[in-house]
Amino acid sequence: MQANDAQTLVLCALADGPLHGYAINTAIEELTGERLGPGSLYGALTRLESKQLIEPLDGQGRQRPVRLTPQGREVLERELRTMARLADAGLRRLGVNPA
Amino acid sequence: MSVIARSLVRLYPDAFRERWGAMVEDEARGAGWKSWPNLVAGIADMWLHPALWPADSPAQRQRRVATMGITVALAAWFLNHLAAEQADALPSAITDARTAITHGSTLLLLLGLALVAPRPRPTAAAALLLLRWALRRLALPTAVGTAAVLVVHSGIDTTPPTLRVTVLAAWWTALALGAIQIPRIFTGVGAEAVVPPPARRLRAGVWTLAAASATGGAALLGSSATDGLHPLAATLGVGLLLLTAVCTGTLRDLRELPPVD
Repeated sequence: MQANDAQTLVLCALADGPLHGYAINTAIEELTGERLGPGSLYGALTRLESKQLIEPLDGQGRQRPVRLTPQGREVLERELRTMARLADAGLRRLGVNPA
Repeated sequence: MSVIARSLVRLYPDAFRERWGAMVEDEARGAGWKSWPNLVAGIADMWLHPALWPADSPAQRQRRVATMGITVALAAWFLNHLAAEQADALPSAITDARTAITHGSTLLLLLGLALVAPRPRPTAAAALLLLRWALRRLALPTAVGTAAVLVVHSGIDTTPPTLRVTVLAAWWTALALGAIQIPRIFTGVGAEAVVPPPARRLRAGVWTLAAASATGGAALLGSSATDGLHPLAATLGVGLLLLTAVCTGTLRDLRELPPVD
């Protein structure tokens, strides 16, 4: 996965707790400044569910919230640590102090 | 605008729509027409990845992959058959390659089909259910194909261009319909009548189908390129290579999914 990968963004959005699709996209918009298209967002949710990284909860009306599974949390943490190490190394090479 | 969004959402596979359909529709309606290309890309993406659709069990995912394998095998057979039947219209290098394509690729396709095909449950009820669905799905293509054969063998003069085109169109339509309907028999009968092959055999089958379509596609494209670009051969070759891409995508999906056995 990559920093701008839809699946990573969805996992990040769910790190605080369960959300439904619209709220996930709002959280992604806060993180990146852009909403994902519906095809990308629900494609990512489908992939993450098939890998058992997220799981659906009982719905409220048309909206059905999802949450991270313990495995999803583990994968997200590993991905973010890898990205942080990479960002740190890249910034050092540029001669910029990591924030 | 909401009518278009709803119509597009209906194009998603049933399993996807049941899980996310209402939410996709709300999101698409909120985002407006600018979201439609992304929605269309998402629909195509889902149809190309049946292993990922929401499922009640790993067996259900395997059944879908098996059905996808049968669809790919029949589509590849159809394209190979078209290349073989149109050999007179193809350059000589393609005609020479036809034997290799027909033999090698068809053998691999048959092997792949045997590996991915779901097994019927050994009960009379399952056999009856399969038979009922086969009759329902194949009645129309069989009738159209039989009519075309009867016209050709009845002694009717088929030299008038209109009748000739009609008979040919009926024959190819029957073949195409049959190729579309056979996988639908397996989706129709479901777990009651068939069991999917074990995960390893399924993967081996999809690998074999990928090899079969790649061999056929590469041979057609190669022949087409060596004897000047021939549009029909190039189109059939690209079609077979697209089927290879579908198989490799499925193999990647299977690798990323939690292990089954």
